Amino acid sequence: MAAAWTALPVWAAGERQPTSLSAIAACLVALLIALFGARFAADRGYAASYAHADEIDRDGKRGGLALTGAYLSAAAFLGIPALIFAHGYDALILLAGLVAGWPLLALLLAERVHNLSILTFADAISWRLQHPALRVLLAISALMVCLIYLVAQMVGAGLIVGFLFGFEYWLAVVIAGGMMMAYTLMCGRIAVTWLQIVKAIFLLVCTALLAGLVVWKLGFSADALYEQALELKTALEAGGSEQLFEEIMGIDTGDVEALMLNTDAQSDFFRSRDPIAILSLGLTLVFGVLGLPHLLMRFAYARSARIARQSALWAAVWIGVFAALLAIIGMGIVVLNTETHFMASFVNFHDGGDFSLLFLAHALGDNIFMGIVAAACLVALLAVTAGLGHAAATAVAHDLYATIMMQGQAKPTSERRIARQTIVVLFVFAILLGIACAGHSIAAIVTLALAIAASANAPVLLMAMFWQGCTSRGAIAGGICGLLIALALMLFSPFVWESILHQDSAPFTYALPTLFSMSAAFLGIWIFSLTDHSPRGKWERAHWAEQQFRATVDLGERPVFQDQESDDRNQASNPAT
Amino acid sequence: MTSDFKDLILANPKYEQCVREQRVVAGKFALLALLVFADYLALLIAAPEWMAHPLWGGRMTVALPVTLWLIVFMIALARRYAAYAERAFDPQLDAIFNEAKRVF
Repeated sequence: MAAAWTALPVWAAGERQPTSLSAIAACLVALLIALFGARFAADRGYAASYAHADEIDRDGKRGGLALTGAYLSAAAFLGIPALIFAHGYDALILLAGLVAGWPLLALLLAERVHNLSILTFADAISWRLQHPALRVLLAISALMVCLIYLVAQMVGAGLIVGFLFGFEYWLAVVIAGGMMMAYTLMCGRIAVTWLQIVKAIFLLVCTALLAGLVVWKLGFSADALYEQALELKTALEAGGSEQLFEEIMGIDTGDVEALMLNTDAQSDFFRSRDPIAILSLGLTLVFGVLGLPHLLMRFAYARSARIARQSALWAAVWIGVFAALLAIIGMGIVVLNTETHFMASFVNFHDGGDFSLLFLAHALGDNIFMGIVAAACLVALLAVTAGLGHAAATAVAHDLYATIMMQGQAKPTSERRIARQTIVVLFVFAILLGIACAGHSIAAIVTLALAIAASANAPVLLMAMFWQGCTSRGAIAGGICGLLIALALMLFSPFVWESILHQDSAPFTYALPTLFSMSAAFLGIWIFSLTDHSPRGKWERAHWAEQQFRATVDLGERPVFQDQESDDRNQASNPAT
Repeated sequence: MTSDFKDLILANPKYEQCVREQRVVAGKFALLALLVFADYLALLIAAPEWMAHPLWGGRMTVALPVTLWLIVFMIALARRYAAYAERAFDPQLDAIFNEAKRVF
């Protein structure tokens, strides 16, 4: 047991050393196979265009895998097991929430968003609600979601690269972030989609292997392992090793018990016993998925509405399988990590805890398996960051620049230039914020991004799609309410105010604002739409039936995106022009 | 696509019926998914002790099988709706479309 600890680097003592060469080699080999697999599959190559309808989502199964690849990030793969390890089964709500939003996305939005949008979900909303300010608002909130989501990926990438190669955390974030930025800039939609498919398969296989090994190991000796963990705890409490613990790790042993038997552990972020906190977290997880720009964008690319729907339904299946496997892995982490890697895991609990999965892989399959799992994490990060980068670039280049600023008259070259500049600026910000968020839970950061999506994007999208009375005025007012309240409450929440900004007690006591900000957004849309008697509002209500028809009936082949198209369509659907 | 073609589809009474049925079914399924997840949250809020109750004297608690059940339910719901849409909705819509195309 002691040998297992010493094989791992001691982080808290300040030493950064590479893990074993076999882990690095296994990681690099797996990474190269995955990347070249994706590169080989994308036989149309690195088409340096960011926005062309691709031909990959030819059937629902493949589209579903691509959606799965776009959705499952380091937050799910590293973050959730870490939270299960840190807070016990309280964190299982994250697994339930990971899946619960998908049936809704498939049933309510997939076909509609496909039929109504050209490139982004803002297109679908702007089909009827054509006020330019609404598009600007949606682009801003899409950018915010992408940025915060990217920060979480940067933290994950920094941890894994730093852990494997022994770099300092900030250097690891810069290197990994730089490589992700280069990849996002080089790849077109096709390469990214193939990477997402390869990544989804890689991640599912890795998760299945881990879960299988956990069942195999626990099946024989769950009680024995538990007994060992208890013995270790008793030994620690009896003293002796306690002093050693404090000296080496510089950690107060007072909370050892809380960690060892973490059934009662209350987390700062996921305060799961508080009704409002549970409701907020549940709403964040379910409605957040409905407002994620990089997922909604994938629906626009699908070949037909039917394929968009099938893709989302298949993604629900794959993500469900992943979540079920993760639940089994979580059980393994709770039992196995407290035993084999108790000390190392304890140290890393204070480092954000996001290594739990890697340590479990080490416990189950030694260095080589840990390297392969780390490679799966890196491929997952790369696929998600590329998807997010494209979504943000499209929000700026298509929604802001081409549609609003240039009134649909933008040249493709200048649009592409804007997209690239967006990616560079966004990644630089994400890298800086990623360094600032060192040691914070990846899943917690992603939950913040989901909270913005649930507070600003989802209410506007749902109301625009399902309520005839919704007008631009209402959508703008509600969207601003949701976005601003979410951002303000997040800033004053304990996680940001105390942990990241190091201020004294946070004014807002809950970790997530969603219950308040999402309600405010829905309420705002409702009130400001009801009181809207402007000619624009009347025109928008009058076009409800037309939108319903267009949302249901996929009128033949999808038009291939050209700069002229959006303008033409606006004119065609707008009798006033 | 011209508005004539749209009018042809809208004039077909089967279209209205088919689309309404799809909306009702999708709405029911979506509501069911939301209700099941709300129940899960309600269990966490109202009966945390029950959820944390250990099973078989080990570290596994009731929350784990309940979460697994929810996940399996969501998968089953997705597949069930896929089966409905492919069996009932898609062919009906295709038929209406083809009919309109023939006339057009």
